[in-house]
Formats: sequence, structure tokens, C-alpha cells
Amino acid sequence: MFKPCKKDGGAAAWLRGLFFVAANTLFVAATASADVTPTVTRTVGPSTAGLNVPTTFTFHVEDPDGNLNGWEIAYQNPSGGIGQFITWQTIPLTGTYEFSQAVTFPTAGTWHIWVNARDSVGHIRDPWLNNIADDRLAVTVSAVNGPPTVTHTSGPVTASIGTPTTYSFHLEDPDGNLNAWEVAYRTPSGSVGQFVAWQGIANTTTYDFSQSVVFSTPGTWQIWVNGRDSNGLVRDPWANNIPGDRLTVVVSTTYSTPSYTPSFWNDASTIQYHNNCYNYSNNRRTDTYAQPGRAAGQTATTMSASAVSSAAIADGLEPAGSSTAISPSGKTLIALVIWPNNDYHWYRRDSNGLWSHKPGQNLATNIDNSGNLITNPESANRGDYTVFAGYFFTPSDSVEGQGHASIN
Amino acid sequence: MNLKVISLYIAGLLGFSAVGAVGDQNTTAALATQSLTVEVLIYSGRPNPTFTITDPGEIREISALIDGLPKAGTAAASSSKTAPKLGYQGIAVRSHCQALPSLESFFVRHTQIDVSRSATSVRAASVAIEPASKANELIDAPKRLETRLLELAKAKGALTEALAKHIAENE
Repeated sequence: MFKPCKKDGGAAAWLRGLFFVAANTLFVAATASADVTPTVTRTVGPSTAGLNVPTTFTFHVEDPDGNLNGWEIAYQNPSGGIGQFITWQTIPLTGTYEFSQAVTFPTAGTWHIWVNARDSVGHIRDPWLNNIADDRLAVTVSAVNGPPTVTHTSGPVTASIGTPTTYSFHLEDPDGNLNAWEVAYRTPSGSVGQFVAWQGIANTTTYDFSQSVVFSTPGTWQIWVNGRDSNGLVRDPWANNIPGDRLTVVVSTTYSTPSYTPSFWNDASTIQYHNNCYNYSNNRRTDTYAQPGRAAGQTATTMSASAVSSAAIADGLEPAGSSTAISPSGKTLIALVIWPNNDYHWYRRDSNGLWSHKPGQNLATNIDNSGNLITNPESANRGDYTVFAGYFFTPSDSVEGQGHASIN
Repeated sequence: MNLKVISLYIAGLLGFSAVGAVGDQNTTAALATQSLTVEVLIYSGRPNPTFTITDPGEIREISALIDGLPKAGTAAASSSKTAPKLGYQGIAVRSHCQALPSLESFFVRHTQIDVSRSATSVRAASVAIEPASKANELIDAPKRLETRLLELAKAKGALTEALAKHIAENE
């Protein structure tokens, strides 16, 4: 606090007062101007870059006040336009900060790239506005040849074994030198291979084609197209880990219902004597006298409707509603009956709509114990098999003995 | 009827003749390694009940029962062929008795017996009895052979009392 002093006389007091005020003003001024603008904005990186190719630069900023708290990456394009690759990003207060960032140049020519730095007071070091030419890195951008950029596959996402299925493929290479394709796959077990190996085409920017393929096993497949340019650069959605360019296809077995063909089973030899009613109804020759649930490790131990039904379900059979039920997937209707505490028996509905069966080692037949054609197993004469246990769908086949149920 | 078997059987029953006694001992020793495999053809899904006869006395008994049966006439034989049905089909007996060559594998269903079968061809009635084999069909009106086999099946645990009774009562 400045106060005039009597003992000193008027002039001296005035001079002392003037000095004090000036000193105070200087102090205040010194205090207000203590924060400085960031002092370093350095950009390091290649002086050349490919057109549309991500290129990485390293940026270093400093502020001796320690209150640096933001950066942005700016450019001057070949036309002279100013802009930002990345606008202001906030960082915790610091004295120095260094980071790397990839940017893409969308036009050919000479670009300049630099970093702006900002402190917490709002002071900005901008190599463009502040005309700090040394902090702006010149980059010459030119078109470079790269691999194809698009490998797209479209088509059915479900298919059947052995049935030709057509897919459409689309490839692009902005360099205009796309000149080969191949159609590849991944099997349900994980093997990778080619439906169609490399096929050459004239150099082009885009190419569309369709191709029919055949899947050989059931399960989940992937199918895609690989593209290659005249320099040998390849875009491979599997090798390059581009899952979006791989189409997933669920492949199923084709199911169908057999006709009544007892001669296949009634050979008075191995087929007849080693395949029972369960084999016959599933239309699956195993020569093992198949038992419900055995293939799944859940063989029925008691002869009841519930126990044998559960065992059959463990084998993959699907419960069905009635004697006229139709499977949406083309499976065949079969029926289970029980001789309580003794045995089970199965019937199947053939493609003619009538039912047939094979009593144990005996002949396959389409008549019941009364000698009548079987139009409904519920009303047929079944002898001791008095309990009707229900209907099931089995994955059969029109080829006799070639059903697809997992029985043994 | 094989005369040797008849003599052996009679000798076995009497057990007196010195020659017969020696022959019986030899046959008994041979039968000790022989067997009959019996399968009751009754189930459709499960494996059929099966058992084995190894006792020489039981083997001789079965052989004697067959040897005492008359041949069937053409009319009787023609009725023996059955359509495939659910339930009891008969009993298949497979012979492994080289010491009794006359004891062939055979198939029995109630009163009808087919002795024309090989061990591998004895199967269900609907295929075991063919017109060509009528000459080898025998008739067992009192069903002694089937009854005896069912008794053995029960004794050996292959059939329950209830199931054996069910078979016997259902022609």
C-alpha cells in the first residue's frame, strides 16, 4: 500500500510514490503475462504418401507452463484450402505431449500437415496462423497401386447337400488392374479351400459374376471371393480377416420319404436278419439290430412309452402330432408302439401314405396281424403291442436303407 | 431216422449192452463239447431271448423228441407258412452237435417242425418254411418239443414264467 510520507518532503515523497506505483504496475503486468503460448508444434513423418492410403505421422507439442491441454491436426491441401484432419482433442494438463495418428489424403498433390497446440488459458500455437513454416510438413501425395478393395459375396444362406447353389460375386479395384478371381470356402470342420481356383480376366475396375457351387457335407460353411490385381496383390477375406466379406451358409441334408420297397430288406440274409423295426422305420440299414438311444449312449432299459420315446428323442427323432403330420423339412413320419414290459415296435409311413413295418428279423410288410393294409397304426392289429406311444419324424431318404437318423 | 442215433438213444436209456455202454460213453464224452443254441423268435425291437443247451442228457432228449415225430403231409405243410406278424414266431434251434449228425438245426412253432435248416438259415417261420422243404416237415401234435424248449428257456432264465405261458397259450 502506497502512502505519502511527511518526513521526506513533498517532491521526494511524490517521486517515491511514483516509483512505487510503477513498480506495482510492472509486477501486475509481469504476473498477467506469465503464461506463455505453447512453444513446440512439431510434425514428423514421411514426405510422400499414397492416395487414399492411411499414412501415419508423429506429433510433438510442448508448453513450458505445463498447462498444455489440447491438440488438433490441420492441413493445407494442394488447392490451398485449410482444414483439420482431426479437430481439437483435450488432454490432461501437461508440459509435453507426443502422439501418432494416421491420416488419409484424398487427392493427389502437395499437402502440408501440422499440429496445433492449445493451453488451458486459451493460448494457441498454430503453425499456419503464426506463420511457422518449419512446423508444417510438406507431403507429396500420389496415386499408388493397391490390392482390390471390394470382394463381396451374396446368395442363399441355406443350402442342401449335393444341390448346386448359385452365388453372386462383386469385386472392385480402383487402380483398374483387377485381373483374377477365385471362389473359396471354409467347411464346417474348418478346412479352407477353393470351389473355383484362380480365373483370369481382362484388367478392370469392377467385375461381377455368378458361380454355382455344391456343398458336400452338412453344417455351417463360409463362402467368399478372392480378388487379385496385375501386380499380384490379393484381397482375401479369409487371409485378410475381413469377416464381412464372407457369407455364412447353413447346409442341411435333403430329406425325403421312401416308397414301400420290401425287397431291399427281405433278402433272407444280412439285411433281413440284422436290421429290425427300428432300422426299417428310420430307413437306415446298420446291420446292428439298432436300439433306440444306443447311438446316443441312452439305450432304453425299460419297455414303456416314455422310456423308449426318450431314447428315440436322444437319437434325434422329433415328436410329431398325428398320423397325418407333415414335416416342414421333409422328414418321414414313424410311429412307436409298446408291448408293456417286453418290447417296442415301429411303423413308418411310406410315400404312398400307407404304413409298413418289419417285425424283428421277419419280413418287411405293409399288412397288420389281421392281414389288412395299414392305413393307421393306431387302429391296426398290433398283437401284443397294445400301447400306442406316439408319432415321430425321422430324417429319412427316398433311397432304401439310406436314412440319415443317428441310430445304431 | 438214423439207426445209429436210435441205437445210441436206446442204449443210453437202457445203459446195459456192453457195446452200447461203450458207445454211450463215447457219445456222452463227445456231446460234452457240443451245444444247441436256442432263440425264441418273439420280439420286434429288442434282441430275442436266447439260451444254450450244453447238457448231453438234454441234447439227447431233444434229439429223441425229434426222432419220434412223424413227417407232415403236404396239406399240413402248406398251412405252416405264415405271413410276417408281430409276436411269437417260433423257436429256432441251431445245432452244433457233430457227434449227433442226425440232429440238424431246426425250427419249431407249435405243432410244426422244420428240420431242413442249416444253422445259419434257421429263422422266422415266414422264411424258414418254404414249399421246397415240405418233405422235411414234422408234426408234433402234442407240442412236446415246443413245450420242452419253453421249459428249458424258463429254467435257464431266458423267458419269464409269464412270457412262456403267454407263448404257450397263443396259437
